[in-house]
Amino acid sequence: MVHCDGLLFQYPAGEFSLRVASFEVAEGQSVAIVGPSGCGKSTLLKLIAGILVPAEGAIRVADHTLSSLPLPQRQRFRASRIGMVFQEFELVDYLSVEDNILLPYYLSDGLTLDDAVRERARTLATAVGIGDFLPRHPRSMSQGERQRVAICRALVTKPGLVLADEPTASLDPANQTRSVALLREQSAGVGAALVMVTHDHGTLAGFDRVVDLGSLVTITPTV
Amino acid sequence: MKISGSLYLGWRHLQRHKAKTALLTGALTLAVFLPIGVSLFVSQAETRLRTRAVETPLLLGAPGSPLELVFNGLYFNQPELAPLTMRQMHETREGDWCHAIPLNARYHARGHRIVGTSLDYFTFRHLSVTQGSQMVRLGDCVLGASVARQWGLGPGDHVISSPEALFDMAGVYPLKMRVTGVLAPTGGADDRAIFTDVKTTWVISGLAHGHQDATKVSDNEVLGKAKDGTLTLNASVVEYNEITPENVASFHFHGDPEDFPLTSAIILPRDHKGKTILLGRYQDRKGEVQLVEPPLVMDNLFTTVFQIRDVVVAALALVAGAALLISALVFALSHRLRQREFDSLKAIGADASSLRALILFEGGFVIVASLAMAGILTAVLRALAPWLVRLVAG
Repeated sequence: MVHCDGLLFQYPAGEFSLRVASFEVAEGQSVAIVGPSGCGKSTLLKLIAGILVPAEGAIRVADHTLSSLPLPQRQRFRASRIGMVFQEFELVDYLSVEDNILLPYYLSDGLTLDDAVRERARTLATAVGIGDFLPRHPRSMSQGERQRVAICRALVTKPGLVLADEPTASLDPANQTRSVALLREQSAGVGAALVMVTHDHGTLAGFDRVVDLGSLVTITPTV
Repeated sequence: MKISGSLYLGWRHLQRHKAKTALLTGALTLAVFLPIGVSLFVSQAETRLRTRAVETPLLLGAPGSPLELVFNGLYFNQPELAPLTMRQMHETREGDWCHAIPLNARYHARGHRIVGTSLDYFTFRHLSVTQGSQMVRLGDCVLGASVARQWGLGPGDHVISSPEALFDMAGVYPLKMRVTGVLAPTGGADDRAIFTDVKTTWVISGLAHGHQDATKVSDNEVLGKAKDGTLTLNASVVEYNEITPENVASFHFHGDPEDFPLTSAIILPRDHKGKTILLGRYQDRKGEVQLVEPPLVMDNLFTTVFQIRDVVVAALALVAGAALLISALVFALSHRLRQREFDSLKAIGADASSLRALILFEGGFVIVASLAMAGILTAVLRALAPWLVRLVAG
């Protein structure tokens, strides 16, 4: 699903550079990326998402060389093929929960919003336990509930890949494990590979692979 | 770019922030409307006031404010004008350079001005009677179209003049006048007036009256009888407050009618030469009477009004500019506050043009809504302008 070869990324100010010789994620596989702060976990995620473009190397996602696509195509590809879950969830507070879940369909001309999509959004919401909250606005919801909305939004397009950037950072410890399990289950449910960046080792159980980006050593999860 | 999605998100944002949207729209609406509204109102007032002034070549009145004289002679306002006498009006006819129409617009009936004049006034103003007939005798009146419509009165009904000083026992008594006709609507000051003969207004003022035949009263009503036959009667003698065919003959004047008051007189010169001679003649008599040209008086008024209007419009334009800048600032700050939202939308897959469309829609909606509101307000003002001008200018 994801193939990164000989990546070099450097921010314009030059304060940070990231080199990744090789990184791969198979279809349907769940991968957790860990590592010390500042080692480039989030940057790698943004490179895979096509938000950032590497100075060297190539990134292929679902047989598309994302790193060589022009910006509009990268954006269209991301909206339709990649689901994003952010640290602060980044829900749009003036939209209802239902509209937040359907947001990719309002943004990308590569996606068509129809009754089947709406039904899928409702089914996803019900599956993660927020089926009754669809008309509500995110501000009236708890952090855990907001995160479920973000998970539904990431999965509603039936993406091949879900990228999650520290999705448990805003949650209390009791909710962290449950939320990651939910994200993994739902991603698996739509057949999507999952790449999750985290610094919380308590949530790593159940992942197919854990990659320590800091040492570029792949470790096996301790279940 | 997905325009429909951007419009939907923009609309949802405006809906979710109704108060901010309404405040911005309201501020921009006022910023656009107020300068236009002030200009429109002044323009409508000018047209309305100047038209009637242009139709009235000269006005004669007692010394004082020319503007008050014009407003009395044209719009029947300013009833407190110093009196002009009939004699002073008749003196204008010297040399036969003009024709004069008396106006006594001092009294009212339930807020509508009673205008004492002659039948010439109706010819001069092209006023025609659509119901009933013209006034034929003392105590008759014809109603302006608005008065008749407002009160639901027509020929055969009666109008009672309002007492001018309710607690003044020696003051003006109400007079019950017979309505003989209703005038066709003109859209002007004549619609809101009650016209009667100038002598009837003197009855209202107490200069003429009618009462029981003094030779037929009982002894109880006679206070004294002089050797020359003059009777002194007490207050129980009936004084009529309605003029009827039976008592009209008993009405009589006390004093010389030539000394009786008018508020103004419309002077109609025979020709331009007559007008010039009259103006020259009255140039040196400003201490006794004044002869004014209403169009010039209105020109003077509007010169001042336009100066004030220009200052007001300039001030409003500055306020409008400030409102626009503040609105732009609000948009800019709002945009900055929403930067994280826009970054998230980009991360999800929105392209830059979709975000621009979203921002432009929100700003554009407020601007278009403000322009539409200002347009509606302008249309409403245009429709109400005649009424507002009447309310303000009389």
